[in-house]
Amino acid sequence: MISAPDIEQNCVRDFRKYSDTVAVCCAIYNLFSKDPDLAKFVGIEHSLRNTNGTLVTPDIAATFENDKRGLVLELKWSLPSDEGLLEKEIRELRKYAVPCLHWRKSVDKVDTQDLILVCHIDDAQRTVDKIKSLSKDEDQSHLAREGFAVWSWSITPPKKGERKEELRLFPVYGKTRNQKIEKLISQPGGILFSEDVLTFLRFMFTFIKEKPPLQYTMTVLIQNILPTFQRSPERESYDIHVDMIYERAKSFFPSWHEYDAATTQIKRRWIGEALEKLCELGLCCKVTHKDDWWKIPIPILRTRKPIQDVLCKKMAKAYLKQLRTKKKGRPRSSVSRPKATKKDKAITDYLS
Amino acid sequence: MTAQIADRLSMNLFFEKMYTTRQKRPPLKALILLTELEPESLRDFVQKRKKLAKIYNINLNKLEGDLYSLNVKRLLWKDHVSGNAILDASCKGVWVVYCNEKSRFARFGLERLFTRLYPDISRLYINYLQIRTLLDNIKNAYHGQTTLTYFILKREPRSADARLRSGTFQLWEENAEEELRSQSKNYRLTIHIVNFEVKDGNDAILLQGQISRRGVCKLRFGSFAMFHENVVLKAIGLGLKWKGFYGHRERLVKDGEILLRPFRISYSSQFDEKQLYRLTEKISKNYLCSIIHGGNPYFAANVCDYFDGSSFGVTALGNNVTITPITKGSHQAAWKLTNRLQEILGDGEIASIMG
Repeated sequence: MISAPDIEQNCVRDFRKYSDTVAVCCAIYNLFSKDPDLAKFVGIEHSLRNTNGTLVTPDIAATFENDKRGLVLELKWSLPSDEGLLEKEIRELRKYAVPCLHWRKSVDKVDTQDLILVCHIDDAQRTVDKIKSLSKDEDQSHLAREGFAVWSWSITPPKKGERKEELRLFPVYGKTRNQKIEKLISQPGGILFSEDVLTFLRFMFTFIKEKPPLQYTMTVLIQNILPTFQRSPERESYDIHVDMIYERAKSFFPSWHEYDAATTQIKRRWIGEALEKLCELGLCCKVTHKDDWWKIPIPILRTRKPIQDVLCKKMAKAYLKQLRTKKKGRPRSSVSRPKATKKDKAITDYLS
Repeated sequence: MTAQIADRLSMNLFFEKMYTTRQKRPPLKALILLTELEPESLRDFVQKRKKLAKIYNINLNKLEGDLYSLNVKRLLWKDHVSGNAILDASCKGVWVVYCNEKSRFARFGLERLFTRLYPDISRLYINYLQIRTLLDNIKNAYHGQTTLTYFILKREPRSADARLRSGTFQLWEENAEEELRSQSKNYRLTIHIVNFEVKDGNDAILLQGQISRRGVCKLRFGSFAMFHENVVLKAIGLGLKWKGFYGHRERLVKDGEILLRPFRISYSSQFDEKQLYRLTEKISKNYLCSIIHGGNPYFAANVCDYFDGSSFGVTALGNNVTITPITKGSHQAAWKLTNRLQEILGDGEIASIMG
């Protein structure tokens, strides 16, 4: 049976993986926006419509060779370990193999479009193996063609004598048709990002398109969003509607365009779910008889440990408790009798 | 002792007379505070905070213009500390609280009161380089020579040399400056208190004073008018300059573009794992933190000020600590966090990062 420390460890690891993937997204954005010769940055979550009529929003979109070619990057903070789910994720990449339109106002379509899947080093080997086996299928042949690549990233600790930790992107599978990018990524050590990415640029965005783990959204709410509503350092509480929280959180989602109703709904749901979980863990509560209103204490959490550690511990405890309850089934109701005190008389005293 | 002060003139004369004669007495403390509050609202702000209202009793009387007399009584354990002070609010955005009572009242009565009124009132935090700049300004203003006579600092060896010890270090010496410089070569220093003397060309003492890390200037001997002009006002000038530096740094979204205004504390040597693990451990005690990387030897964290609600991204890489205000990011919170980081890692050089 899975133990609480294992759950906690995985929970904290997922938090870090998502956070670092956001940093990688900021790094790639910074790479293209600083050097348009590599590729001209189009947008983050830019809406493209493929010729099948489906709307697609890659994490990063760019064009190169005078806007004749397109490049999309899809970032995955975590890929499923379950074979079936992993296959489903990879099959979904097919939507980017269909020619897309609406790259820029002046560029409606491109001659070719390349796709790069960026994943965590822990997931790279499994993903590449699965891609290799899937590429044999005719409908997944794009995975074997030029123009599809898988990159991974790592934050490397310095070796003796070297200066600092570094964030690097390196190729693990395939190639794009962008010669400049290929030259850069295929050099020994891959693409080395500027130090700024590890220092301040990583705080540019807080989310990527992919849904974050619950503990991540809860931490962002506790640290960056809910404290902005507090007006007094005194320990009190305030009532707030979920829409107000969403409005404040909006700027943390990377976007160069106004969201459509569906996207807004998705992101609002992330916040709703995180609030529900916080409530379940006893850190806030719902306002009675008022839908979508929450009572938030000041401060919502006071601890001398990192927040994600505390949240993960609480979540693991709640999860295991839930498991135990399920196994045991519904607990039988038991009759509880108050214990007799010295003042109480024995029932026989009343018989005479 | 300040009961006989009725206006600014009588205050100047009172302190002038008191500190230009050699006598054993508590030094005059000038506590510099940054706030946009009106002094009249001080009592209300104390009353609003339940914990403060329980232990403090405050009386504020207007003397003349922006000058107030302040009486503070604090319950300390089962005892009381009480005393009087003069509150000068003549500089916009700054209060100077003058107090010539014993240090017990100044520390536990006055300083603690204003520290606990954060973020409505914030302290002035200055590091070694800023104290150095201030001393240079004082020296120029007096046209004399400034010498350090005493200092207290916290030191941490830069290397793993077993002969170098960490901990608090204090030194009384006629020319303590040399020792301070040599200490800074082998250790990371966090300066707490500096005593200094200003002498004229004939070696006569013009001023004996003290500057502390938390914005308290003390006058032990010398003209009060000169002390006010050349020390207090210079410290206020420095404070307002740094207030401007820390202000307006929140993360902004303008036409879809995200603007960050980070700043950094630079050190002359790189951090090692031990220091960064200590940073992880200590920063969590004062701030609500989520630590992304705990110091291997890269430190990245998101920290939130409990009282103010400001949040910051903090990273330590190589020999730089980078602070990126995220939401709210008030100048008070940014300044306090920078000070706390320097208390843990040692004083460094603070500068903006051009994005």
